[in-house]
Amino acid sequence: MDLFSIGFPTALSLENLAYCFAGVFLGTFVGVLPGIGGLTAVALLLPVSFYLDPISALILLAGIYYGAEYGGSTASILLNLPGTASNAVTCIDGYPMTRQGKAGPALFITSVGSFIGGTLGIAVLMALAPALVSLALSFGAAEYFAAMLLGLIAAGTIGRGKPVKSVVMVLLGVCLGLAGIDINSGERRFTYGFFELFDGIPLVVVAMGLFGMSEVIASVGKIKSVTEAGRITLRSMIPDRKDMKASIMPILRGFGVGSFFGPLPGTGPTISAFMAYAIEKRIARQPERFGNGAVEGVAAPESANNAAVQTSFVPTLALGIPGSATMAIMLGALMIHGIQPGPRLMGDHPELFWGLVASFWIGNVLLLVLNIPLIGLWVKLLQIPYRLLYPIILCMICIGVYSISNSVFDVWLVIIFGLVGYGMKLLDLEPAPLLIGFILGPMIEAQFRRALILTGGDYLALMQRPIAAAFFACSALLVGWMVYAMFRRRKARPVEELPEVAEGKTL
Amino acid sequence: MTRSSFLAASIVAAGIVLTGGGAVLAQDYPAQPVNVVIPFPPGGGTDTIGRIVFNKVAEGWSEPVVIQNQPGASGLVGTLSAMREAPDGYTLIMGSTGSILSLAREGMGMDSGAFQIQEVLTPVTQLSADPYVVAVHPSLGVESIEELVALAKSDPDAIPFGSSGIGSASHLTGVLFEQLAGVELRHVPYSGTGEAVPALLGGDIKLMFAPPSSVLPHAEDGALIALAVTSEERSALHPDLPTVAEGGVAGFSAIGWFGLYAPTGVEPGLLEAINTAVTDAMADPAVVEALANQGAAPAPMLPDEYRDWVNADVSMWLELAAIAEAEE
Amino acid sequence: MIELNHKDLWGGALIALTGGYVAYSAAGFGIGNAARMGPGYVLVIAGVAMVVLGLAMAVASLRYADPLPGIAWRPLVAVTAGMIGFALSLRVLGLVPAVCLLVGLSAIGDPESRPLPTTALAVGVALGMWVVFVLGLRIPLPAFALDF
Repeated sequence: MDLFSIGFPTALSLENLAYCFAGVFLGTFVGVLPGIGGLTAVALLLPVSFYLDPISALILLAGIYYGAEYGGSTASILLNLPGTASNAVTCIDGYPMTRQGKAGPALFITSVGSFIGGTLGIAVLMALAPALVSLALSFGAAEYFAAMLLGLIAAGTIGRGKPVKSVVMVLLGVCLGLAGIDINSGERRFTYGFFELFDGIPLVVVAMGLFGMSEVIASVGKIKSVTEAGRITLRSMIPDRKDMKASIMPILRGFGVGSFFGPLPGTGPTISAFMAYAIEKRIARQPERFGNGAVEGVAAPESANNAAVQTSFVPTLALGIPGSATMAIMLGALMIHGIQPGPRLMGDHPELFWGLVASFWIGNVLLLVLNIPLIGLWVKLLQIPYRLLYPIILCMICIGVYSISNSVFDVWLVIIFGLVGYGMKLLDLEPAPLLIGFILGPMIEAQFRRALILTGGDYLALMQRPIAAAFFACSALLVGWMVYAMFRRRKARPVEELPEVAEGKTL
Repeated sequence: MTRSSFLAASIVAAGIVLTGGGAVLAQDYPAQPVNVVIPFPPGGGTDTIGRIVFNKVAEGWSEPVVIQNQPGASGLVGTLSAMREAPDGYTLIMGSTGSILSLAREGMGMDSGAFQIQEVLTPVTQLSADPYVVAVHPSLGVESIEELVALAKSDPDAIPFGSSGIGSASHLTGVLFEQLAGVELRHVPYSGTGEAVPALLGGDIKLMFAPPSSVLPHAEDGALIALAVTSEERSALHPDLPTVAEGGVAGFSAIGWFGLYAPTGVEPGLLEAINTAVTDAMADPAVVEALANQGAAPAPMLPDEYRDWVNADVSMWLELAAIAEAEE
Repeated sequence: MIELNHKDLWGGALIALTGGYVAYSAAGFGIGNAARMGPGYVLVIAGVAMVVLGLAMAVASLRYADPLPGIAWRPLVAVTAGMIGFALSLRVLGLVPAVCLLVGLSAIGDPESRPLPTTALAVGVALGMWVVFVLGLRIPLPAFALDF
């Protein structure tokens, strides 16, 4: 096996081990800081990588990338602040767990889930890279459209309230997501003369405003500290057997979702996390627990996004195609070192490929070892009185958002979204469905229109592609099942609905 | 000679008066860190070329170079904010064909009707100017420009060609091809080269006018076929590839350039100092090699030379953009 | 008589209004047709759907009681003012003054905050942010802009 003959010897050299540790450590750190994600950190360290061997540079940058995915969940769980966009979904159940005094178990499950998702993701990356490459390339516009549509339908009702409220939030998210220059026509949509809006509204800004800032406004003066559990014992930091058992299958399913979406250029960890969450909620026996601190709602998405992060290296390493902005930087680092990324990279530079893969294993172990002891520290931080904590949270939101593209404009945007988010909170409208519409809406629109240009406006031609047809069929089944379930619920619970109506009449 | 030096001296004097005597003297430059604004995300073409060159430039300076990525709106966000900084040489701006074209399409530098870059930016030097590669998917069944033109003529509006966006150089090069070859292609815009190349590899689109580094590795591997380079003459980096003009499309020439700019009003002596520092750095063999890996050949110019070239080339791209818009 | 103190009535109405605005503006972007959609096509559909569902929500809400919660004016104003202060001062004054403004103003949101601890917090946080983000992560921001 090349992994053992070439990979581990390369990755285990003292120097590379040190860079791997530095990478995952820094990644965890920037992941924990809200708003500063792996992208910013990798960009910041790009100049440093000039002075390293290409393999060391790649090990360092990659370590930051997947390290940030581990750390990103911390602020989501503890403070309702999505550290990176792909961790936004973790807020939905992670923060309620914290409020119930279960921050420790939530973080513990997250670390374990991330580790399992990540390491299994690496195994997939190694074993199935060629197959995944051909899968990724067989995804044309029609397939992307069909898959994203299924995603939107599946995730459309991830909110905890009335389905119609989820649906309107998804629609609002779609509209917000479509702001910016239309790639098919060049038309400016809702840009109001701001160049900063041409590329659309940054996802992190929306997530930080709707989750982070609005939560602060709603909590100030109302809570003394984030966690209301009185005393924190060592036992309360480790999940009980019930939670562990409830997490195993979600972690494995999350890994499955992540390793499917990870290798598709342009989808990646964020969509994987949302999908994994939606699947868990859909198959759960008591879906109403979701949003109120269900441990599955933390375990599945965190396993999914880490699996996606590892498998997203497939198109990057096997084809030289960057699936995300972060990957583009890593390819840039290779090019600066005179290594041409492309289909021949694996053959021409086996030590680079296998050394990097080996470093992923090592990095994931390091992350687990690094993160478990940190849980105690994070939980202690929660005891800081909220009145001292919230100004710090606000600072991190502002600076984090500023650093996305060194622009104050994004700070103004986050203020607007924070206010909108607070209004939504008052009206019981949830941010999570909005976010999924925001992410998937623009992709669906672009791919649908592209697919139709390619087929010359022929809808039937879209159905004739096997992968796309399979996704369409799944969507149809899902819609059918949802209608059936709604119908059945109506029939089963007429008694519960009656008093509501009666009450309404007295108004 | 005397007249021009008098002119130069009076401009310097005017500069000193205008900047309140705080003008930077070329011999003291740089006396503080130099900000290089790159209006594109890290890892892209402009960013990589900028970093390679300024890494070397910084070695010759006593002060560090701070690279600042300010991406957004095809380079407009970063360029517009950097343009407003003082012309003291401590803010430099990287630009590509795309970012300068975006300025022109916003009406900037268009006061006289034709594009005049000096109205909005001081051109410092070109860094490189490189052709695109005409790449096709093997399923198209063509192996030369002649065959491509013949196929496109036999079946108008049938060959889907991808671009990195509406009005991008990869789109407008396609429009130029349609004009000069007398054919009609089906334009499919993507958001960025990174999204378009997989679509080309997967066969969703069949043709692309793409940056060399993004398609040539796949051509070597047989997944794509590289037909030609888009420059007037063959590229030194890929001497085996013919030009589009050689393939029978007379007069075809389209190249993308990367250049360095500063806010307007830079004192001439200082401008020359920066130009020299950058030109010298680009002569370094390690830099040449690193640029070649990126598919770029160093092509420094004097500021005036570069100004005239940019103005002429942007006018050509603008004409193509007008044609493309009329087609929509 | 219609009860105005109702979450879904307001929520539905606001959604319907937003949807109406989106659909109206998007119609101006060019709708195209189903085979070759214009930039407004999807937006018009989404906007119209928002109008319909928003109105349905508002009408349905009349059947049950669901009163609005009170608005937390004090934190709302203080937090917003702090962040606006930050946005206005960051480029003009620098990171340290901007953070001090943000901490100082937003702290007023909690009735229990006192001037002295707040000042200490502001200075401490400003220093901490500068160390982490500027020294550590090299975000290009001056501590004080005046000397820049």
